[in-house]
Amino acid sequence: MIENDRENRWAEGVPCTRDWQKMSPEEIVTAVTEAGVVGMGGAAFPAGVKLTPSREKPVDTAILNGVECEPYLTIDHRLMVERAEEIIGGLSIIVKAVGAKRAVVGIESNKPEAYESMCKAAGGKIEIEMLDVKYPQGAEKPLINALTGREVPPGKLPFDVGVVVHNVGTAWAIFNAVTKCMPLIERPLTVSGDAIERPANLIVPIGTPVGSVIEHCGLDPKVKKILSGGPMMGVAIADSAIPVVKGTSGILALKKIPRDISGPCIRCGRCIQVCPLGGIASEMARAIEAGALVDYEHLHVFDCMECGACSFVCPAGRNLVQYVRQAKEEAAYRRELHRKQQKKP
Amino acid sequence: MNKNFPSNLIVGPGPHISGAEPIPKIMWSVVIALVPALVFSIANFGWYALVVTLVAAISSVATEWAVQKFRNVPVTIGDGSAAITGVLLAFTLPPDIPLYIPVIGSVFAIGIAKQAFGGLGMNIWNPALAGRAFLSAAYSGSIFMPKWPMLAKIFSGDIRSIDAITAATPCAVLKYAPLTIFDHYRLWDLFVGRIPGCIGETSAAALLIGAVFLMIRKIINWRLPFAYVLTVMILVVAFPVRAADGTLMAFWQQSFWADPLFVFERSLAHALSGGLVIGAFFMATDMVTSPLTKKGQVVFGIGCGILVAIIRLYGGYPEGVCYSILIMNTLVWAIDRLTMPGFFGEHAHA
Repeated sequence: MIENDRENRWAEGVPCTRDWQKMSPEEIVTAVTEAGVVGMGGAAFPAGVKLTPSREKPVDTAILNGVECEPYLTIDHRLMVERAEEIIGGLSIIVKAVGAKRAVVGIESNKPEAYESMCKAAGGKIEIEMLDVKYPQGAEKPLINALTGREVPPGKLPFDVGVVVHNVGTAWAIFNAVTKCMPLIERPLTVSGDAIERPANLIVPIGTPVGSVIEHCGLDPKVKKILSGGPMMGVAIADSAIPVVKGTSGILALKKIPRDISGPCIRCGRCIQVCPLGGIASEMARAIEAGALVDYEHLHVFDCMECGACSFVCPAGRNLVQYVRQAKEEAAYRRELHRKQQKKP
Repeated sequence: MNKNFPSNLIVGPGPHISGAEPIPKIMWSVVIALVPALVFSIANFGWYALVVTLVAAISSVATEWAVQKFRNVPVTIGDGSAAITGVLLAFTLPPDIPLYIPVIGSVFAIGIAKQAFGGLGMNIWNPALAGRAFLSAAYSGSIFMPKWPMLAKIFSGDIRSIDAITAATPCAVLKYAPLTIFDHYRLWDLFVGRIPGCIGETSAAALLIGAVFLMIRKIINWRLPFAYVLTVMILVVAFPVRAADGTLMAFWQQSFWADPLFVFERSLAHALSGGLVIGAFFMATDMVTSPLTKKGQVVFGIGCGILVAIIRLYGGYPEGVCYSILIMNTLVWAIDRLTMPGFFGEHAHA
C-alpha cells in the first residue's frame, strides 16, 4: 500500500538538466514517454506515439495548436504569453524527434498578445501564423487544412498527410520532460464561467478534486452546470470528488444555459454551413428521428468529431451531436452484428 | 476534502452553450420585414388591403391552432410561421378580393399544404403559394380580374378602377404588347409601386427595404434572389418574342440592338413587374422549401428564373412567379442531393 508522506519532495534525479540538442530522437521519445506526457488539448493521446512516425509515412511539418477555439478557455493563450520560450523549445524538440522540415504555430487572431509573445520567442525557422477566428479550427483536421492546405481523409491520421500536431501545452510539457526530466504531474487549466466568482488560469496538480479547484475560485450557488473541459465538447459533472486528470483543460461553471427545447428541423442549412467536415447533420438527424436510418456509412457518421458546431447554430435547438452519437452507437452495433453473421458458416 | 456541489446540477450532453437565433425570432423578423410593403399597400389601395392581410393572417393562425389541436400535438402558433403564410398569401391577392377567399386560401395553405405534411419543416411546397395556386383554380374569376383598382391619390381613400383605358397590369402589357410598356408605366412607377396589381407585390422599393433588412440579419441569403432575378432579366430579352404586329424580336437580329438602353429597360421592367420581387426575396427564400446549401439555392434561383421567363413569354399566364417556385419546390430534394458539400478529405490525394 502506498502512503502519502505529504512532504512534497522531489524524487531522486528530478529535476535534472539535459541538453535536448545532444539527444537522439529515440532518447527524446523515451524521455517523453517515461514522463507520461499526453496531449494537453483534451484528447490525452500519448505524446510519445505521436513523436514516432513510421518510415513509410514521413513527417515534413510539425504544427503547434495555439488556436484554443473553445469559448471560455484561455489557458493556451496564457501559456503562450507567459511561457513562450519553453513552448518554442518544445516545438524544436518535436521537430528533432520527427525530422520535420517545417515548424508552424497556429494562433487565432483574437489572441494578439499571445501572437506577439510567440513571435518574439520564435525566430528563425519557426513560423507563427495568425488565423481567422473560426470554430472548430482547434481540431486537428481543420487546423492542418488551414495551415498546410492538406485534407486528412476520413478514417486517416495526420501522419497520412505528413503532419504532426501538438497542443502548445503539450509542447510545454515535452520541454519540461526532456530538459528537466519532469514527469507530467500538473497541468495548466482555465477555471471560468459566469458562475465562477474569481476566474483564473491555474497550474493544478493532477488528481486534485475539481471541487477544491472550484472552491479556490468561488462558486455562485445559482450554478446550473459544471463542466470538465470547454462549453462545446466538455462533459457535465455533478460530483465534486472527480479529479483533475491529464486531459482536463478547463473547469467551467455556468448559471445561464440554453433552454431545453427541441423543435422541428426547418431546413435552414446552417448546420451544414458550419460543419468543418462537410457533414450532413440535418439529414442524419431527421433520418434518425424517423427511425429510418439504415445506411450510416455513406453519411460518414464515424468521422464526426462531435465538435457541436451544428447544435450551436440550430435555430430549433436540436442537439444534433446527440443524434450523431446515437447513430454511431447503432452503426457500431450493426457492424458487429454484420460481422458475426459473416462468421457463421 | 470533499466539497459538495449543489444537488440540482444538470448533467446532460453537450454542447452546453448556444448561439442560435430561435425560430420565432426568425419568423417574426420576416413579418416585420413585410411591414413597409403593407404600409405602401394601404397607401396605394386603401384600408381594405390591411383588412385582407389581417383576415388572412388570423385565419392562418386559427387554422394552425385548430389542426394542431385536432392532431393532438403541441400548438406552435406563437412561432410566427402561420402568420407569415397568412400575410404572404394576402399579398398575392387582388386588392378588392371578397374576404371569404383569403380565409379559404389560408385554410388550404396551412391545413393542407403545411399541417397535412406534418407541420413546420415537413412541407414540400411553399404554403402561401400553394394557397394562392389553389385559389387561382377555385376562384379564378376573382383572382385574374379584368379590372384592377388603385387609389386615385395615395392615402386618398378614393378608389378607382383601371379598366378600359390602360386595360392591364404591367405584366399583361409586357406579355401582349411588350414594346409599349413605357407608354403605360414608367420604370420609376414600377419601382415605387404606384401601379395596379396584387396587394403586396407592386412596390419593389418597399419590399426591398424589408429584404435588405433580412439579408443583413442573415435570415435570407442574397444568392437565391439575385440568381432568380438576374436569370429572369437575361432570359426575357434573350428569348425571342413576337411583337403585336407579328414580327419576331430576337437578340440575333441587328434591329434588336438598335437601342440597347431600351433592351435593358425592358429587362428591368420585367424584374419590377408582377410578383417577382416578392417571390424572389420572400417566397423562394422560405427555408423549409428551398435547398439546404448555397450552391443548391443558386440552382434553385436559376431554375425559377427560367420557368418565369418561359411562362411569362410563352405560357398562358402573364405572371409566372407563383408556379415557377412551386415547380422548383418539387425538385428541391434532387437539388439537395446533387449539391451536398463533399466530405472533408474525400477527394484528397493523401
